[in-house]
Amino acid sequence: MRLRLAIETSASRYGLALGEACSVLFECAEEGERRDLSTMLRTGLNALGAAPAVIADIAVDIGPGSLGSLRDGAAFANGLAYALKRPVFGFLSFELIGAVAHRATGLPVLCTRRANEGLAYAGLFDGRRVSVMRHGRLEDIVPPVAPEGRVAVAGSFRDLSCAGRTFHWSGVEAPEARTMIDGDLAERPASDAPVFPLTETSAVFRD
Amino acid sequence: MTERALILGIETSCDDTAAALVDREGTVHAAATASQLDIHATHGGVYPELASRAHLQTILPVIDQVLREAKVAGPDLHTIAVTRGPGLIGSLLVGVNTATALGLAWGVPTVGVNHLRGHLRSAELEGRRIAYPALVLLVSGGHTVLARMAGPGDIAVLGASRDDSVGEAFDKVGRMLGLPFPGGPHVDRLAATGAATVALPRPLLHEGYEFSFSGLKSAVARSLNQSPAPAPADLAASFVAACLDVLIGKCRRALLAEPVASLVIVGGVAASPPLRLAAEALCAELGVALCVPPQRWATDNAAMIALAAWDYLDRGQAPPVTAQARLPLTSW
Repeated sequence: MRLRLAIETSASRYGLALGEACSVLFECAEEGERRDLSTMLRTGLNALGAAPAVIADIAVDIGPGSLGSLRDGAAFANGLAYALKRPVFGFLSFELIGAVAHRATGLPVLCTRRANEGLAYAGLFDGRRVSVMRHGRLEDIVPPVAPEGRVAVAGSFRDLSCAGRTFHWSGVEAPEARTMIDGDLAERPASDAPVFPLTETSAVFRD
Repeated sequence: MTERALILGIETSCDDTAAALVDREGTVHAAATASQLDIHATHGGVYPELASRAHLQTILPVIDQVLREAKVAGPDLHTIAVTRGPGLIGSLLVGVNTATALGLAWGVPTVGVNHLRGHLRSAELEGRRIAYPALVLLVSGGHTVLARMAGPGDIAVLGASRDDSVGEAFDKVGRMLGLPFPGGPHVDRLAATGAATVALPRPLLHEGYEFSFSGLKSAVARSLNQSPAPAPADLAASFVAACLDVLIGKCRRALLAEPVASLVIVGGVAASPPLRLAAEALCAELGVALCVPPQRWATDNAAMIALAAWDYLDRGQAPPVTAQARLPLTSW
């Protein structure tokens, strides 16, 4: 058994999944005081009758999202990867909601999430990857991110209407850990380096 | 299990990322700290969000450094001890999540330790021993507490600060005087060049065991607004003298009220040379032993967290390994 551990902590509900060869074998999500990643992982390993050593790699959502909760996931994932000597990969929240929304709609997906101080994050998932991301006022960042034509929207803003355009609501609001196992996302190169969550100052929002 | 039973301590409650390996006797086998001083200096104080980000960057390199230095493999550790509070919640969470992940992967138990209990045990690092019962003065950037300890972990609080801690007052006065952050050591150094000629209050000096430093800090601000303003060195000297009068005065009252074997002074302000000198004089006068941590272990560190964890194991205390921004000294 060689499992992928997937951890999603970009919002108040924490998700964890274990899977093998693109199949999810265990998943759980917790809120409030029960969102303890260590307990969630122990529960999953016990359910599969597995030891931590069967974890072959670790995938974790690195945002954009809630900065404090993203750090919970990254700290746990990095610690586990260091102790087990396994690679850890960072996936963008926009890849996770974008992949599910694209599968449901067949459209390019405008991914959105709330940020601090009334601002927002936006990005475009083109069916395989996130091609552009911005941080700022929603009305400022949507026009340069959203392409012409029909576009689905996923994330924090269900009834998004911006610059005279309306978008097709995909029904996908929050990322799920399982998408890092069964989401048919582009693979990451193996790396021993720890991962760090995106912040509002990350270069990806300016490039 | 290694022949040396070692606890890995992890401390991330504020602005230092620290790890240490400590045995039951308090011998420190390895220790490392990543300071965030440069990050926060421009803000004139600790900026919580930046502190959390820096902890995440440095925690694994710091842990890796101590394990390599002591040639210890993770699975051979006796226990992992991590500060669970009190402190900045985002900073605490980085430590707690890292520690629980390491513990799960290595199959090593993880203990969540009260940072304040860590400070109390810092006076017994590197072979030093506290003579019990003891009077304890905990003075740091976040806390000013006077307590009695009948034995390790057996604590009764006599009084605490109603507002600012003494360390916070030092830092704020340092900022008023245009000194670099953290202000404490700079205020001490400046005070050594001046004379205590400015009249400043000694809040609550004659009332019980509680403290208050907010009014004293405001009095320093008012003095600076006078015309002509006192010389900065004289104002610093007057401020330090007022703090010492209150701290030592409360210790004197407690020592006279109920005799103990020793006076223990811990926390970041315990590194203050004038406080150490004043405490030495008091203890010599009253015939009690003075116990202060080695200078290196007076400020926040992971060695004290690891040493305190042995008390938890001995007493079967296993509080949840979850971050708590507020945690009283009497909690485990």
